[in-house]
Amino acid sequence: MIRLIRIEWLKLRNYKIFWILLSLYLLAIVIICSGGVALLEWLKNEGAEFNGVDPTIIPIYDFPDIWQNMTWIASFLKIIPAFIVIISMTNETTYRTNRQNIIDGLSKNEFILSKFSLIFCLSLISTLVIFVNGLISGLIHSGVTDLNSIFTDIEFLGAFFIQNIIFLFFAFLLASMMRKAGFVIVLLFMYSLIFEPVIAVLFEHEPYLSQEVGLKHIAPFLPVNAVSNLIRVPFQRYVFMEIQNYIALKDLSIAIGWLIAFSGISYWWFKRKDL
Amino acid sequence: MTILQINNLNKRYKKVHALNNLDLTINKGQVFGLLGPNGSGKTTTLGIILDVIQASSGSYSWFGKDQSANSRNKVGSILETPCFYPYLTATQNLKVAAEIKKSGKDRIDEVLKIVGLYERRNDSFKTYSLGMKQRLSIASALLNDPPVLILDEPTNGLDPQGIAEIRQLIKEIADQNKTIILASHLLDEVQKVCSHFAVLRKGVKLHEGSVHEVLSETDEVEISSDDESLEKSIQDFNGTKNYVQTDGLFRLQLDSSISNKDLNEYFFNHGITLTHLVRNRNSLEKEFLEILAQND
Repeated sequence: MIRLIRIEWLKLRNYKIFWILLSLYLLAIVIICSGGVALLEWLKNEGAEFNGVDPTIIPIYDFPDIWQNMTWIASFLKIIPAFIVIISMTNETTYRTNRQNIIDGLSKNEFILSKFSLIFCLSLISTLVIFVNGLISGLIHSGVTDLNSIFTDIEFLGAFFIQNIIFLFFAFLLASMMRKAGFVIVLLFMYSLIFEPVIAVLFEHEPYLSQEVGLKHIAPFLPVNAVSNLIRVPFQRYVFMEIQNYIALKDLSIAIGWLIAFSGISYWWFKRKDL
Repeated sequence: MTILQINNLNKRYKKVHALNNLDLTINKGQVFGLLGPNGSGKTTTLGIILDVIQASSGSYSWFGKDQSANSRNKVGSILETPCFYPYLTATQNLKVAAEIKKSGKDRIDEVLKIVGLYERRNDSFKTYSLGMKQRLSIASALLNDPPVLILDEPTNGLDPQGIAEIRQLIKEIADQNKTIILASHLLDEVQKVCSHFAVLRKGVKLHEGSVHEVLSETDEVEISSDDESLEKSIQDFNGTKNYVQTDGLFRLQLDSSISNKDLNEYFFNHGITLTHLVRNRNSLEKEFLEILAQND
């Protein structure tokens, strides 16, 4: 396994686009997650107020709420590491280096595993960055800093990790089926940001489809929806609404189901393909 | 010792039957030429034994064992087009290859020197000319000093000097008692380096045998003379297997051990001066065309 990670590392280590995307991604995580205070200040200066409450006292960085807040926000950025996975895979197809790797003595299983290890490492790195970033922001801004509060709800980091893994597997599946990186990226973008959300809204709220046809029960099973459902929107709690501040077993099961499907199909596809 | 055994291999694409019940045995130390017109199944065969193409049916084994990635570590391959990461330098590309082949990185400089790329080792692959790219793939194939080498049209797109260099390299490698499998449609190339060959057409094997046997049996020699007694002397010469006469020109089928000098000497001693003496060497090309014609 270490050998496979090392092979992947040797391929990416001197690849400029990889470093640019990775730094942009990590930078974006840090900015988005640490920018909350600045945003609230800005809202205050613009004269916004929530039921007469000064926005700057909204405790978005308080432990343990910070974990769900940050992972929910950061999950929007997972499209960027998906680009890395897509480019890494379509490059192999375009340059026919996947074929060369097999000829040189890598088995197809090992090749797939080396790409899976890339997905794993990227997800792990982003989760670690969120953790460190959350810890620092929390220690600066949070009202409570006892260990117990800090590590309560830490499972949202786990959910964030799984979210990333599944989404990157989805990207990998598309990339292993198609040659052109640009096309795969556009497809992934359109599907996960436009098509599926629209379909999901229709399934859930369009009276005929959701009630009569009963499609609202299908909606949670749509892949991108299933991935985002792992971490529910947390911010209504600041206007005193009920939120789901835990990871539901049902959501987790559906997500794991997609994880198995994406990895299984991409494995099967690559195994039977002539290179 | 059998290096590669292919049994009943078939590959069907949607409309084409690219390989039809191919059997092939390649033994240690052979320089084996795989011949055939374009599209005859050479590259498909190599793709299957290297596990990048799935066979429709049939089996193959390397070194008497089942197919596995480990056995491919012992096979160096140079295929049609060199495939490397364009944004990496020669050294960086070879590091990836070394990691895959589980061979040390200590030989990288050495193989780069062998193929003459050492000076350019820190330039990225995309800046290389075709000849340099081809040489890098040779370097990569030599990286772990493999006992078996596979070459698919290795001289494609090279200039005459590059072609000569590759031939020289193949010969040097063959001299180290290594096994080489060479696919080519350039018969001259195969004749110059191969010990054995097989002919494929439309996925069917038409012939398999040793190059030496096919070429060494007989040579054809044309002679003529003003002397009337020429025909009698030809009949008396005990190296003659057969001859035909057209317009005073005799075409002799001779044992190939008899040189032009022997022949000239013989006639001279019988008081005949030859006015014409030309030896048509049997070429693989001729044999190849014959094999194809026989199977039409």
